[in-house]
Amino acid sequence: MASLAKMHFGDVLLVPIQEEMHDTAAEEVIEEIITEAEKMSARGVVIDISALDIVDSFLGRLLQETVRALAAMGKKVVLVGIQPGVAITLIELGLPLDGIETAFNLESALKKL
Amino acid sequence: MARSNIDYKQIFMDTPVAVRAVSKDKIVLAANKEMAALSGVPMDKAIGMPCYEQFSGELCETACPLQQAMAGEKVVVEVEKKGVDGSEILVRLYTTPLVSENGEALGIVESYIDITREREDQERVNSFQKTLLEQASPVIRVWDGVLGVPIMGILDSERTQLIMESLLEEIVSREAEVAIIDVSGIAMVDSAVADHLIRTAKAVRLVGALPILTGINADIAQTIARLSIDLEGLKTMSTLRDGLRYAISLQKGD
Repeated sequence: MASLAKMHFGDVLLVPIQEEMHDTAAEEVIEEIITEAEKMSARGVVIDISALDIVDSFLGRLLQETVRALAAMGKKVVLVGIQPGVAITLIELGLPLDGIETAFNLESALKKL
Repeated sequence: MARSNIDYKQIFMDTPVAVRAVSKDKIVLAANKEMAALSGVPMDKAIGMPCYEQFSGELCETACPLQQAMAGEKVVVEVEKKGVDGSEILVRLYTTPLVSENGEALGIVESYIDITREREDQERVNSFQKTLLEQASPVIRVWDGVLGVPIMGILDSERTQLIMESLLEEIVSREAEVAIIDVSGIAMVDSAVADHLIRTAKAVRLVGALPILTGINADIAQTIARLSIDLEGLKTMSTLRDGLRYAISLQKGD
């Protein structure tokens, strides 16, 4: 996946999700995040989805699974930049992402880790 | 009066609905007075004219309903047409097939009702209602980084949606860290209302702010307990004052 830009902030992995992805691409991105988090033995992972204006049930569920997988590996995860429309869709889809830390910008996300 | 004395032509001409007959080749066969008034084309000129010239509209070039209507399908559509002075008007069109005495399909009969005014009135009422609802639950900046929404009256799903949208927009644009949702003015809490509140709070959390539900008085608390509604993971407080104090204490901690 060429479009995935990963950044390291000390022991924190930062992944901005760039644009709307089709299902296969989304799965690849998620797998890459998890692999990378393991490789760099990250303490925390920040996933920035502020570029997403819409989500569907597939991506919503995928996000939930990713966060759970990372949590199972003992990583702290913060989702950053969930847009109002995306938040409403997630709630309507019955995916309130309970127990996931959220923040509206990178600064407050890093504070929460 | 004997039946044979009824003048069907007069009934057709004077009926207060715009009616025209169109052949299968899209030529106007007949048009009544109301049709002339609506299209601006006099009755005698209309006959023989292509139907899309007498009274043109948005469907003429894209989805002309003639074929459908001739097949006997009852078409009822709301469509934009060009009015007498060239302005856009909204009409509701009803079609019936036009069949000769020996059963041959000749074309269709179209009846138009002008619903421009009706629609405008409806839109005005809707926007008024929306303003009223929004004003009933304004998003207030109560402290640096703290927003408050007092919810008054009745909370239904439509209103929840409105509150959610305006609250989330405000949180994101002001980067608010805390959103206090005060429910002390809610008329009645049942499981649906509780569900709306919980959904709003969860949406607030998703965009990155901390939701606090305040104004949970004894009545509401009992209802929540009786309905075994799960408020787990949500910060709740009995008064707005407590909520605000808590919100400010959080910020000093930074």
